[in-house]
Amino acid sequence: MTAAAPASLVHQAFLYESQDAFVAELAPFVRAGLERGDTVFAASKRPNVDALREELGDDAERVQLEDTTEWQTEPYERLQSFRRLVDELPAGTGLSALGEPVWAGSPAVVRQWARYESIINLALADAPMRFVCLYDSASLPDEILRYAVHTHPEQLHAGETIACEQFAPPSQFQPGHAPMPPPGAGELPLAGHAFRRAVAKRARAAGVRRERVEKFVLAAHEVLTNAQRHGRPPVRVHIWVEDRELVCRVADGGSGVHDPLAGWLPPADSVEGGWGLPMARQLCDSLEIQTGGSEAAVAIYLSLDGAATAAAA
Amino acid sequence: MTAVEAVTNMVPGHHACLFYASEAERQAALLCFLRAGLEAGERVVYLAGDGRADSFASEDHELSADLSSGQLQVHDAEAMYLADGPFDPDRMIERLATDIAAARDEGFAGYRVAGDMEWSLSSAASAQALLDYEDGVDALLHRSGATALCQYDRRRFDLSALGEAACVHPLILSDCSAGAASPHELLVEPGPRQELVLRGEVDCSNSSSLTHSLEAAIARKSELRLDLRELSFIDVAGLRALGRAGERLEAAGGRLTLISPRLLMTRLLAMLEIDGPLTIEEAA
Repeated sequence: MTAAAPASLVHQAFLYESQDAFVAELAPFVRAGLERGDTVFAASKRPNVDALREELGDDAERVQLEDTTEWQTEPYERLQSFRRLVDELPAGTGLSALGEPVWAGSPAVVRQWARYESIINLALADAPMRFVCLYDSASLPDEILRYAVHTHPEQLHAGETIACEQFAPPSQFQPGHAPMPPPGAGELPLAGHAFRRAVAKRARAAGVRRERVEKFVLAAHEVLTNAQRHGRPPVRVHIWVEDRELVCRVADGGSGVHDPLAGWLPPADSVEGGWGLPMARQLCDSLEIQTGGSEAAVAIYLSLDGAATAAAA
Repeated sequence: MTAVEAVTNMVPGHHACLFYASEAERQAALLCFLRAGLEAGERVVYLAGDGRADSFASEDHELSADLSSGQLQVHDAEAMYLADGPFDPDRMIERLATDIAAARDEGFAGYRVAGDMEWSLSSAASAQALLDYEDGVDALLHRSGATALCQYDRRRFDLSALGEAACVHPLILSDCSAGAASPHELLVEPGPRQELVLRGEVDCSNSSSLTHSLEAAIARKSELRLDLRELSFIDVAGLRALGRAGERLEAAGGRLTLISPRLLMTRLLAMLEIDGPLTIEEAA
């Protein structure tokens, strides 16, 4: 073994311009991991995975290679999978991982993935893990490439490690703009059944399919329940359509949810409750938490583009 | 389904409890229950709590005529249950059995009784005596085809007392969102094939009453089947209540079977990782 596993997470972005550049940079990364005795994992687009497998030869059999469009295609679930990989490491060994988010989706889905990239810095902070996240710079829009340098403390470039000057701590990273109800946005009744009926009615009116309405209603219910239980009156809920997305925003008069990890991890077994936000996140395309100002809010989004079907379950 | 609608659906032999949070709610359910009995030609008895007997008898209202005719009887509940000292369940059940038989002899088509339960808050009524009483009433109603509605003020009984009440009544008419414009009821009742049928919606306002119903059922049998076809909504707290019931049954060597849950419910149970001890079955 050439070097021990890192004491804590090393989280890097790698912007690749071509499949050749991909293989040239990452085959050595994989081999170094194998030499250290790391568990080695890679999820990328199918052609990249195939090229990497070919380059690695017999070594490929010691690497878990996945097509990123088929393996845990929802950010919350993918994060839990990486946590499980870390939990299952043999004592004293590390994890070398390559991961490529599934950027094909609506703006809400893209924001959720960007937030996932940011939250990894906290959720896996203590993991003995070298984690390189992959960005196809030839095809991704500039906005997503900017997210890469906002959400990773370092990037790999031609075998070198470069610090990302624009890195933002997860508590400060905010893709997109904070959701504010526009004038005239409908305000909803807060009583259980009436609330759920109103959300369902609005979603159906926006053309959302029945199964997705059901999921969105439950997500909204869980966010409202969370605010009623942990927030401070007055609780107010607005629902509106903006940029081809249905937004339901639950605000309360408290100081809000300050833990950036809120809704990204399942609650500890000993805790009663705590499932509301993680479940809500999985039931919509994006869940965004807003703090500061006179009110705190949690907003959930559902893409109204027919092609977008990213919400899991 | 509202409490009033649920009351309308009660049939002879039913033993229900209502947890209410406002006077209007109590009255609406009570009048509906009494009226249904009067219309069916039954002897109808109201055991009124909190001094309501006098005002009910003296005030002029839609049931006054029935009071005069004697088909409807109103008694003070406290005087009835606690007049002779500590509450004696056996004596009360005997008395109820006598009343039911007398009503039949007098030519009434059946017998129904509604009771306010404030009297049971008295220290003269022990918790065990109450449980024995409700069990005895249950058996008697089943035998005689009489109907009973026990009304509990949610603002005066604590959660554990309500939980116990939920355990001893096979039918729970529990409103879901106090103060809501349109409460959507959770109704738990026995189905035709030994299963429990859940109707309505489960959310954080009533998942504890679901838990209590399940606990009561678990106490009686190890194989529990829940028909979820008419359960239109259940939130995470409610699903976890189902998961806990499944775990307890499995630990006792039994099984919890869910009949025709909505697809989303099945998926959520898996996401919550509580589907292990549960069997999912589609209704035939």
